[in-house]
Amino acid sequence: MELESLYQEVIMDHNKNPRCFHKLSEYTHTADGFNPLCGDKVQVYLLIKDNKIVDIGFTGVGCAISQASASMMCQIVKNYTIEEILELSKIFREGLTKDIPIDKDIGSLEALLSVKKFPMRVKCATLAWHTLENSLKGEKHG
Amino acid sequence: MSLIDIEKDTFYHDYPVLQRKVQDKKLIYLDNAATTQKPYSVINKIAQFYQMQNSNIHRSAHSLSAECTLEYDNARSKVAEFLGGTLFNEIIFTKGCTEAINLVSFCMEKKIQKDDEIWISPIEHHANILPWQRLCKNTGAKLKIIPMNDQLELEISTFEHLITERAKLVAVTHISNALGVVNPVESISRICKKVGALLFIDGAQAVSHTKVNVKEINADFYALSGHKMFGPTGIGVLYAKEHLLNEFEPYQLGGGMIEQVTFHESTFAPIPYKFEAGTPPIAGALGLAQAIDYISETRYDVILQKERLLYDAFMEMCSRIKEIKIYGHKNPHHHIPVFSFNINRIHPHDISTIFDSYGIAIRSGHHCCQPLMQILGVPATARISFAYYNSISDIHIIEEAIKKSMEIFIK
Ligand SMILES: Cc1ncc(COP(=O)(O)O)c(C=O)c1O
Repeated sequence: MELESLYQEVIMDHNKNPRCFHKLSEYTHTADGFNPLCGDKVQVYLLIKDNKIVDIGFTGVGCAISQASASMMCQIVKNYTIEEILELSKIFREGLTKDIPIDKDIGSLEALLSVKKFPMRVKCATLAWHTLENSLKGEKHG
Repeated sequence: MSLIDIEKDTFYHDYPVLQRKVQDKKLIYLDNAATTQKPYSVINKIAQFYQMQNSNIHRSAHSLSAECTLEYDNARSKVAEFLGGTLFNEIIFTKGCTEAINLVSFCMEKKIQKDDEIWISPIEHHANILPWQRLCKNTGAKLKIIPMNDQLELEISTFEHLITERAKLVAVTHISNALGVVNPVESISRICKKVGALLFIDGAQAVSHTKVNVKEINADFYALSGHKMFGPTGIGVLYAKEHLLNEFEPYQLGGGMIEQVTFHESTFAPIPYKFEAGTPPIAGALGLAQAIDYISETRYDVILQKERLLYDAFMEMCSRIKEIKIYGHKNPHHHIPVFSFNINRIHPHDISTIFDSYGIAIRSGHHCCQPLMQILGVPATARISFAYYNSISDIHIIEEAIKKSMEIFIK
C-alpha cells in the first residue's frame, strides 16, 4: 500500500529521533522556512568554513515528512561543499516534482521520493531544502 | 422528507460527487466547513442558465435579458424570505462572505473615530478579523476581544460587564468553523443594543445547519457564502438594515450602480443596486436560490435531526479512543458536528494523508483561525466537519482511519 511507502521505517525513525535537531552555538548561515498553508516550520543553521559545511543543525515543528526530511538532509550534507549541496538539492527537488528518473545516487534520500505519490505533501518534503538554499543566499554572520 | 429518510440515510444520492471514488474507495467527504457539495438540482440550474438563458441583466430590452433580470431579482427575494423576511433592498449579492465583511468594514470607516471600540471573538475566521484590524488601524479605534472560558465558549456575562458605549460594532461568527460551537447571538445582540453597538454576524457556517432569522436575532448585518450552503462558489450575501445601507457610501463604483453619470459628477442607484457595481454573478445568484429551494424541500428539522445522529455516533466512537483530543464540545447542545481534534502527537497533516487513503476528505491546518490555534497552544488541528448528507455508516471507516494513524505513529 502506498501509505506504507510514505511512512516507511527510515522516515518514521528520523521523525521520531531527528538527527542534528538543535540550534548551533556557532553558525555562519541561517534561514527560517515556513509553510503558511499547514504551519510547518524549519530553521536551519550552518557553519561553513572554506566553502564546506562543517556543522549543520535544525529546529522546527511540523508533520512527519517535513521533520524527517530536514533530519535526513542535515545528516547527508555535512562536509559537502556549497556547490555539492545546491546540486543535490536540485536533483532531490526535481525528483519530487518532475517526471524524470534520477540517475544519480542520492543515498537515503531515495526513501523520501515516495512522497511524489502524495502531491499535497511534496512541499513538506522540500521545505527543509528550500530553507537550506535560502540560508546560503542570506547574509553571512556569526 | 421525513424521519424515514433519516433512517434510510440516502441523502447522498442527491449529490453526484458523492457517488465517486477517491483512492479506489468511496468518497467520504468530511470537509463541509470548507465547502459543501452541490445537489443535482443546483448543478442543473446553473447548466440550464448557461445553456438556455445566459444574458446580462438590467441592461438590455431583449427577452433573454428580461428573463434573467426577473430571475436575478427573484433570487434576491428568495434570499430575503430565507433570512426571515427581510426587505428586498436589504439583500446585497457579493462574491462571498469575505467580500460582505470587507464591504461593511470599508463603509463603516466614516462612522468610526479614534478610541471607539470594535469587538470580535477569539474564534473568528481570518475573514472576520483582518478587515476589522485594518478599520482600527485606519481610524485609531481599538480592537477588543470577547472573553472565552476554558470550555472554549464565549463568556457572555463577562463580556456584558466589559463592553461600554465606546463599542461601535461587534462582529462575531454565528457558528465557528474550527470548533463547531454555536455562539449565543441573541444574547450578544441584546448586549449590543444596550450599549448602542451595531452587530455584524458572520453566518458562513450557520446556514447549512440551522434556520436563521436575522430579524429575530435583530442583527444589523449578516453575511453568508453560497458555496457553504449547497450552492455555487462566487456568490455570497450581505444582509444589512435598510437605513445603514442608505447611509453608507458605495463600496465599489462602476456599471449597474449608477443613476446619472457625467464626467465630473455622478449619482447612484438606490439600494440594493448601489452596492452591486459591475456585472454580478448571475448564475451564482440563481444557483443560490436553487440551493435555498433544496434546503426548504429537505427541511431544517430533518437536517438537524440527522446531524444530531452523526454527532452522537461520532462522539460515542471517540469516547472509546483515549488518544483523541477534541477541542471544546463540552456541551453537545451548543455545538454542531464540526470537530477539531488531535490524535496524540501525530501531526494533523499526517492524519489527513492517512484518512485520504481511506477515501476520507478532512482538513488539517489552522482553518484560517491562527489566533485560536495560539489559544489552543497547537500549530494545527485536524478537522472533521459533517453535513447532514454524510452517512452514519461512514463513522466506522473514520474509526478505522484513526486506528491506522495510531498503528503507524504510536507503535
Ligand atoms: C466562519 C467563516 N467565516 C468566513 C469564511 C469566509 O468565507 P468565503 O471564503 O466563502 O468568503 C469562512 C470560510 O471558511 C468561514 O468558515
